[in-house]
Amino acid sequence: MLVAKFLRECSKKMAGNSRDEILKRIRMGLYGSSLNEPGQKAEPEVVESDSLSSIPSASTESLVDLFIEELLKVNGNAMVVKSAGELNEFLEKFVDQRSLKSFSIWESELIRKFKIKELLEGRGLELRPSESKEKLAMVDFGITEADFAISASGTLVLMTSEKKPRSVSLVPPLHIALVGIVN
Amino acid sequence: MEVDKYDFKKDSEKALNDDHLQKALILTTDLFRERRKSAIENVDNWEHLRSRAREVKKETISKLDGYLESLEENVVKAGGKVHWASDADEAARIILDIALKAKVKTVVKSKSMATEEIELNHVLKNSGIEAIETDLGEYIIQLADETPSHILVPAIHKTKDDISKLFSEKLDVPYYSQPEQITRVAREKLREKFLGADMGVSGVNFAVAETGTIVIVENEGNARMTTTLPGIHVALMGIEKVIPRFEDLGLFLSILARSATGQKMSSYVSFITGPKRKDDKDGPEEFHLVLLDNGRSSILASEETRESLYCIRCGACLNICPVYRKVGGHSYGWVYSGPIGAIINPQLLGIDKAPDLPFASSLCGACKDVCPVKIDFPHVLLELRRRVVDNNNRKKRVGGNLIQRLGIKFWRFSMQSQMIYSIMLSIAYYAQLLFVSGNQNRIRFLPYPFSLWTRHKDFPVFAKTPFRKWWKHIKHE
Ligand code: SF4
Repeated sequence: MLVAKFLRECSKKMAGNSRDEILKRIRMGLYGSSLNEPGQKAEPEVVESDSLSSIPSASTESLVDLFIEELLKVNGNAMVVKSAGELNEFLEKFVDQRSLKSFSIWESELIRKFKIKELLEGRGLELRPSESKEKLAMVDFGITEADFAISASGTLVLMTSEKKPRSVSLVPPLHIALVGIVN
Repeated sequence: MEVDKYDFKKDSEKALNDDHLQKALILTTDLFRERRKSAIENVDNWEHLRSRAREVKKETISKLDGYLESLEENVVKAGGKVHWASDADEAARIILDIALKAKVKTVVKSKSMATEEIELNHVLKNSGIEAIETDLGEYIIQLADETPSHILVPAIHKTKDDISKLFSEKLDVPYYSQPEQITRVAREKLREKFLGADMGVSGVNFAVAETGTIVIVENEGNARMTTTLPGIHVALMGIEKVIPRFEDLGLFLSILARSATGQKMSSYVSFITGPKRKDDKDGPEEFHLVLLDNGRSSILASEETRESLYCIRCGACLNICPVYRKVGGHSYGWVYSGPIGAIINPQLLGIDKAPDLPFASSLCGACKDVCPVKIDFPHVLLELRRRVVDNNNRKKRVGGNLIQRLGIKFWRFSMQSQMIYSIMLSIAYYAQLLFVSGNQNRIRFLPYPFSLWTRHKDFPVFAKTPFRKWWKHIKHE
């Protein structure tokens, strides 16, 4: 047993590393020869796009309605606000009712435009940076802005970057996401 | 991993006699089947999507070398490191080395069948590194020191009461009877671990060759925690998980969620391309992708069974399978169970390690009908059965199964003339009367050597009037 193992190890070493070994085995299996154009690059073929046929070709309003309906089904909540005033009012009520004290936030377009950070800080809430996971773990809620909202499943699509850290929607127990409705 | 030969017959017998397990299996698999059914009802081009998914997989696997190379290139471009592992031992050693080099003490893990394959927890533990499963089902299994018995619902064999008892014993909490209470306890315990862990290990559902992005699908958020909070992220994937284009994800994500849990979209779908960027405020500093072969390249070499590699691990074939629903996951002896286990365990482990599995199927084809990538199970199973038989014959030429050979010789002899055949039938009819009780039309027990048969199957009773006579009789009437 030991000898066999030793020999196997030796042959492995002699044959080069596992990368080459694996690729060689794959090429032998597929093309019957490992020399068959080594390093051949697969070029993805362009295909017709595949999607569910039941995509509703509907007005923005009905898409928003559908999104809310689907989000409720998966235990989320949604609220349509029509102006900066309504948004502020909603946020104020939200933090007061739940006595929220601290938050973490993305620096995205809508959030900047509606000065949400300033609004919350103005009400005495503490802004926690997302660099420290220990601090973020204790934060009451996080605010982000979705890049897309998928009506059919009630899904938010969040694209992260240096100004939009992933942890803000992930670690705090509450998550508020802004979704711009563009007509 | 060195494994002895698995004993499907013994293990499944145990499962069949476990009432508790029998109830749990039917309850859960029924639930998932219902959910899947209603999820695909409203998709009118479902069949088209399945065919497309199969085509994409077929195309990918047929040029696997090229796609793996472009995946590697793009992961490296994004700042990640790629490792190649020929077998389970090598993969475990690679991950252990990464951990040792960074002086890692605690590892958080999200659900990954590939890490079960390489027995990673065991390897880490032996080097004094604590590895914690963070998927609730896997966490329960880990506390109980057991192995998963379903690829999606690892603790399918445990009841609520089992889990309440387990938690109060192992975690020093009161006996909580409500699932919400149990979830809360787990969440609190795990949160500490997420924040304290130095390394996160995840699996991979899809790896996009053209962008170097890995995609992880889950419902608890634990995989996103695992891949975001610790300083190092290691993702382990079987080489068949690569897909060509980002665009293919629309297709695969919709069929995976619907087939697996009946959701339109899983609760969390994470797209990860490399480690933290220079100015990012969070995310791991290091990203490692480990590509695991462990027998997959040998599956690929057979055109008859190559499609076993198309599987996207949705679990639908387990839930529909009349055999899985009775014998449960542990009977399959290794990481994968149900129809997909029956075809890949023998191929990954070697046919002589799991010779019973290709036979653990009625060939009803229900698995083929639900599989989102249309794996032709009956075809693959028959090919594997052929290999088992070949393998046995090869062995027998040395030792030889005398009884079987004599039996076949005898059969040939009695089939050669109609008279001998009729005589044999009459003898059989009278001889069997010793073992037939009442009006039964099947025999449950016969003495050796016929017990070789009746141990596993009932034997049909020989009719008093042979068909030939009966037919003549009917015709005259
Ligand atoms: S074989 Fe098909 S049905 Fe079974 S788990 Fe894989 S993808 Fe799902």
